Amino acid sequence: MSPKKILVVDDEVDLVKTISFSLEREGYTVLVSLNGEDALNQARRESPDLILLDIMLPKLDGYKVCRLLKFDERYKHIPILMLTAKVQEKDKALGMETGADEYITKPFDTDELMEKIKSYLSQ
Amino acid sequence: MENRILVVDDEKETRELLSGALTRLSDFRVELAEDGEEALRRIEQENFDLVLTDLKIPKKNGLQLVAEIAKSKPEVLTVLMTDHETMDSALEAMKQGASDCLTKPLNVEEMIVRLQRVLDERQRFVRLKELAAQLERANQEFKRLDQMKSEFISVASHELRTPLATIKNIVQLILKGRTGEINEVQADFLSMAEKNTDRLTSILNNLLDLSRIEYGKIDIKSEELDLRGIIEFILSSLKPQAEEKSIQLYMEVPRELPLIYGDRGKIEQILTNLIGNAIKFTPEGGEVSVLSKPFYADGNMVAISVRDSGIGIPEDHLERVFEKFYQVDGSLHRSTSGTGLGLAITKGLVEANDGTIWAESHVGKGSTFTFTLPISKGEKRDLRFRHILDKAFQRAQGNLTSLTLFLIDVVDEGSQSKDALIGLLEEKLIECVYRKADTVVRREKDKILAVLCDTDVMGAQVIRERIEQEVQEHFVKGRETPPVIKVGAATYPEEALSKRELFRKAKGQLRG
Repeated sequence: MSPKKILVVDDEVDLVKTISFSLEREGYTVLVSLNGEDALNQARRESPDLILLDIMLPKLDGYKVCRLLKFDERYKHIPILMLTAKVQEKDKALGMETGADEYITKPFDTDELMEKIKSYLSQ
Repeated sequence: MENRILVVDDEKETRELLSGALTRLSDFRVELAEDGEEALRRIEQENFDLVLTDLKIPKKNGLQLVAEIAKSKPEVLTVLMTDHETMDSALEAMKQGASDCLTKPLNVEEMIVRLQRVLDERQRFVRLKELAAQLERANQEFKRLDQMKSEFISVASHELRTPLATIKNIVQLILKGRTGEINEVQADFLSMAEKNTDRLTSILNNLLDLSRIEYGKIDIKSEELDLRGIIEFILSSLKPQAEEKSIQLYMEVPRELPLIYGDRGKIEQILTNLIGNAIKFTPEGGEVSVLSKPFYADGNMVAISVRDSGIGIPEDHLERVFEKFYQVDGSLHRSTSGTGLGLAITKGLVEANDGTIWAESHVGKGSTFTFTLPISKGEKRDLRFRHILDKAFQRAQGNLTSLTLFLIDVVDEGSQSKDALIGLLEEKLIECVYRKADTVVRREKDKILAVLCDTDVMGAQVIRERIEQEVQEHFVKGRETPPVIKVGAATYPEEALSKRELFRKAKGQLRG
């Protein structure tokens, strides 16, 4: 079985690096996007198994990326976990409305995140 | 400052007399006009502080002049001179906006005093208006700054979160040995780093909460709530924390506590803050109790108290503990895990739920924090139920008469809602027991009807038959799945001696 592909989208390079480190340790293949437009293109091109998506992104924000993927028959099955510093309830509600599967606020616990990813991928 | 006065009078003699007197005896600058039109023209072109006009002047009379000045140049004061015979005009002039009226013959000295008084008053008024405007500007500026502060906190907390996430991730990776083995001291230090990033996160969360509360942006979703269940839940979630310090947790909340109306999440946060604080400030082996009871001193409220056996708070600090970043002893040793914002947030949350909060304390013995929450509207209607029962019982006791309480409950398997059935039943009961009944009243909590009759056991039997007959006729006959209607009854003093017993006996018959 080929390793699962995970797309990590965040403009914070250091955070992307540490998340990628943990994911690669778990044996996943990691794809990285530092802005929303690139994230959308990569998602369409590579069809990853799961996407970790920040909200405040250059070029195209995470809400829009999520909406565009979730409203597309070809990609709507990909689980999207939103990783964000926005903590207000209305932000969370907005995130869920766009079809995100999970809404995780920063800072988060690395192990918990890995557990969540594992459970989405085994479904 | 020199005041400019325009004297309007058609008699040359009077004009000159006034002008002379005013100039000689005061430091007014006096100008003269012969008629209304000339006066208006000059007022339009020049700056006068006051116009002193006779009532009878050519081309517009004094009254008209006063009215027109009040309309076109309200900053110019007017004083009217009248004769004794035209006193009515004086009143009318004041209504039109004149500041004062003088009666002829004029006493020059009195006139000067009165003109001066009118001018001084205006001076004070102008100054007051300036001050009010300044205050309003300062207030606007203050509001703007306060709003900026809240927005700043919200943005800053968001900006700080991302680097915190990175740091926490890195610390966790190294700590868990994912980057290679580490020794015990390194592990110890890294856990400290992790704990402190968590603390920073909770400070950020608290700051954000507080800024939302202060900014008035807090969302309150109120519903009817059973406080007892919430208190039990919070106590059980804080139990491990208490057990760590061998602290006993007690709960004294009556089962029949009325339902309250508030936001569940916010009330849980309030209780967690207060009980958590109580555990934090109580020494090992101490105790923390949560008590609750109805509180009618401040409207229809329920009061919830959290009492600890901790170190207590000195009297002069009690008010200030709800301030932001306030520490009783001013040092940091008490706040190793606190942010100094917990009580400020708690107060904000209580107030957002239409309650109040206060603290009482005895140094060395412990502190009690009490907050109130409004009783739900449904329960308020049930207060009426209780009130009516109270009144009827008191009357029966006082008059040495009997009182029978019927309770009627409906169980329906069919499609009709209980509300509709109870409503219908209530109407029928009012008709059928009307003569003897004091009251038919509905209890919202469990949707049962109560009928109170001033009658003894014998009479009660008759009424009971009548009720059952009515039920049979209107609710059972000709229906495939008639509702089951149960009637319970008890009579004072034959069957029950207290109000509570009366209710319990009647209620008991509804079961089974």
